Amino acid sequence: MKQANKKARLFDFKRLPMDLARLVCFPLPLLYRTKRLDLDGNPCKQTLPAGGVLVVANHTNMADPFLIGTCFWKRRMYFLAAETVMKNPVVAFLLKGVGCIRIDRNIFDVEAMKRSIAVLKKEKRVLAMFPQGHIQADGEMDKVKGGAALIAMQAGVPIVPVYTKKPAHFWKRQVAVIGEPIVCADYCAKKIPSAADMERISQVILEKMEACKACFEQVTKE
Amino acid sequence: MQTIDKLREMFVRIFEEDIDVEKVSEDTRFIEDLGMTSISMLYMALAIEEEFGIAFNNDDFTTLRSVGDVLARIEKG
Repeated sequence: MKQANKKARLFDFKRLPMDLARLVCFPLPLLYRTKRLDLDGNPCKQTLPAGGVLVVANHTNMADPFLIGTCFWKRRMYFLAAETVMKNPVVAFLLKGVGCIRIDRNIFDVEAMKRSIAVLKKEKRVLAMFPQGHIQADGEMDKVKGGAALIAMQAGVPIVPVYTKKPAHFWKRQVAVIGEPIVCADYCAKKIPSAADMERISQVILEKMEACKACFEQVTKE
Repeated sequence: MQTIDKLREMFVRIFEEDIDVEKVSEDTRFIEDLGMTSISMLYMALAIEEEFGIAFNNDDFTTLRSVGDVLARIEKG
């Protein structure tokens, strides 16, 4: 069987910019010293499921993609980036090279959706996104938009919820609580899900992220 | 089966009872008349692509406002 869980190979010419970025970010785990926890507050032993995985996380600051990247550093990751981040053409070019998919939140960005689904379904990669659609600096959970459910259901991949927040002091270790993978089929067995099914999955994502948040608060006492 | 009937069938599958498909005609507008959200529109687009074998791009969505517009786009291929 071919390697389904596409771990990083040392040389992959097609993904050279992405690998260079990973190399540059190599010291980040030392800086963040991220403590990966499961929902019981124990060190997280769980690895990402094989194949395509959609990672959903809350968004508290611009450094979140780096933190999420360090949590799952063994896999090459793509990120869904808002149009505001990729406004500058040079920045957009660089971010695209390292695996960012531009999504314009002001239009019906069907191209970004299709690209995201292809990354998960055909390339079987990890895609990370912030489904609330904006930065919520205080770490409070807002409504989860429907995009995450739509992408995961169309691609047929599990969703892994993550909750993290910048520590109060820079010397404190960064904590990331990683929830159990959400399998959409457990909540909707239909071959063609309805809009209501997607709404239900979005609600499940929010609930699971809330559970991660509760664990985070218990552990960090924040 | 006419294309509009196929679209109606698809609406039933996707939106179930949220949309009264009997009222869907060529003049029906997605947002104003059917109350679709941006996610519903994207979902519909992906479903139409699969059903009719066409590929939408972002520019299409500046002109696709009604069922009639979608039918014309499907005809165009």
